[in-house]
Amino acid sequence: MTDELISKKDLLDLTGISYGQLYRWKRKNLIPEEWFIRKSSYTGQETFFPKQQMLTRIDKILNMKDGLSLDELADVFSPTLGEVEMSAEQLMDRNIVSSPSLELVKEAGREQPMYALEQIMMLYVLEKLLLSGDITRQEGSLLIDVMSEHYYRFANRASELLLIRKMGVPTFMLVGSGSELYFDQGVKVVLRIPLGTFMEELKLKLG
Amino acid sequence: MEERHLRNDLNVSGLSQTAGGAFHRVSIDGMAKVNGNLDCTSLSVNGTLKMHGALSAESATINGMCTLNGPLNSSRVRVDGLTTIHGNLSSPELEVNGKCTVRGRVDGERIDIGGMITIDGDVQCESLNVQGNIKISGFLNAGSVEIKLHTSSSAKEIGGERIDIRRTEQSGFWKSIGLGGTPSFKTSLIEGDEIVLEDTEADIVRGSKVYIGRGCSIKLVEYSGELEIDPDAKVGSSQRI
Repeated sequence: MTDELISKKDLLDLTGISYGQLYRWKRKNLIPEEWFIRKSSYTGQETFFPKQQMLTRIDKILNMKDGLSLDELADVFSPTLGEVEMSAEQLMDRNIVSSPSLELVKEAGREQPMYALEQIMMLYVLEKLLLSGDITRQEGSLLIDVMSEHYYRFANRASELLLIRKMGVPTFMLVGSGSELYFDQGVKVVLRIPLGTFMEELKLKLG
Repeated sequence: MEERHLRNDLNVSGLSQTAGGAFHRVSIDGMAKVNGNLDCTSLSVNGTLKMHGALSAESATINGMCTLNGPLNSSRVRVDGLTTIHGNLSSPELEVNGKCTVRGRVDGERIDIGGMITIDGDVQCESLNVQGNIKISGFLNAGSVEIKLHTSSSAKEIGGERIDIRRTEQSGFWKSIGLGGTPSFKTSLIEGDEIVLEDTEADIVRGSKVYIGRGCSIKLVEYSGELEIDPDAKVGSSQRI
């Protein structure tokens, strides 16, 4: 990823948090270990963070802190799948999925009486991407395919969803966070989104 | 999992070798060798235990000698003898009054060291209390760190909220054995909110409220609140940020 990096000092300056808070959050797994990037600098070693991800995460922690304990927050941010089961009706009631997405799932033959978190996640991603107009219905069924077949592989790791097109033919991919990918000339990367953000939103909605 | 109290106990009071397994209470009063994983409610070692596998015990007390070739998971560990762990140690409560070597990382809530501990990996806990000797080759991340220096201790880096490293006048045990060198602490980086240091050698110290006491040698201090430097301390440069 060609994410912009921010040094620890600048980060604390910018957000006004203290070293103590930063380390406490790290201990509570609110900030993943991978985000602590060690680089050598003129004073020896310095720690850097992926700027955008880190700023959004800190903003979320600070804004949600009052309502939830740090341990509950850690649950929200962890990529681990929890134990949830919900029916299609319950999901509709909670505004997690709408009927067009559910129809698409039915067409793909993946309809179920009860959905586990893994599948709810798939529905939620589908719903969000369809609503935002990023993908077409046809691409939606590809998404259902790749998510239901392979998402479980990333049960404990951060992953990203990729949509590429070549000559108008779409392909979805699930890759581990931060992997480097190179394509030939004709390929256009339409979407590249970390699934972690969806998971956080979804867990808050379910919570 | 079956109810733990319905399991059998394992008692060794001679010389014995076992394959491991699940037990309720395990007590080793002689010499035992375990060739596999051991899962138990309580483990007490008064003799010698050598393990090849993972140990998971609700509470573990080691008064003799213990060598583990595998990780240790527990909710309460007390080492009064000599213990070497070739793996990670995870226990909310850890108390070491003897000598303990961990060739992995340590995760806990409350860690109390009265003896000697050497850790090859990172340490993560809420409070670390040391009255003895500690050597950490990795990163120490703790809510509060309180180290009373008796001998030469070290850590690669320290981060936390309250960090307090102070000298105590040598007396009694540590003085009489005269081991471990003069009281000093060596690290490359200390970052925290409230920092109090004595006899510490560090490249960089960053914090909001910093006190650099006697015997310190610090290359660079960065602070956001207050800084106090003892006349007996050496500070290369200090900078308000």
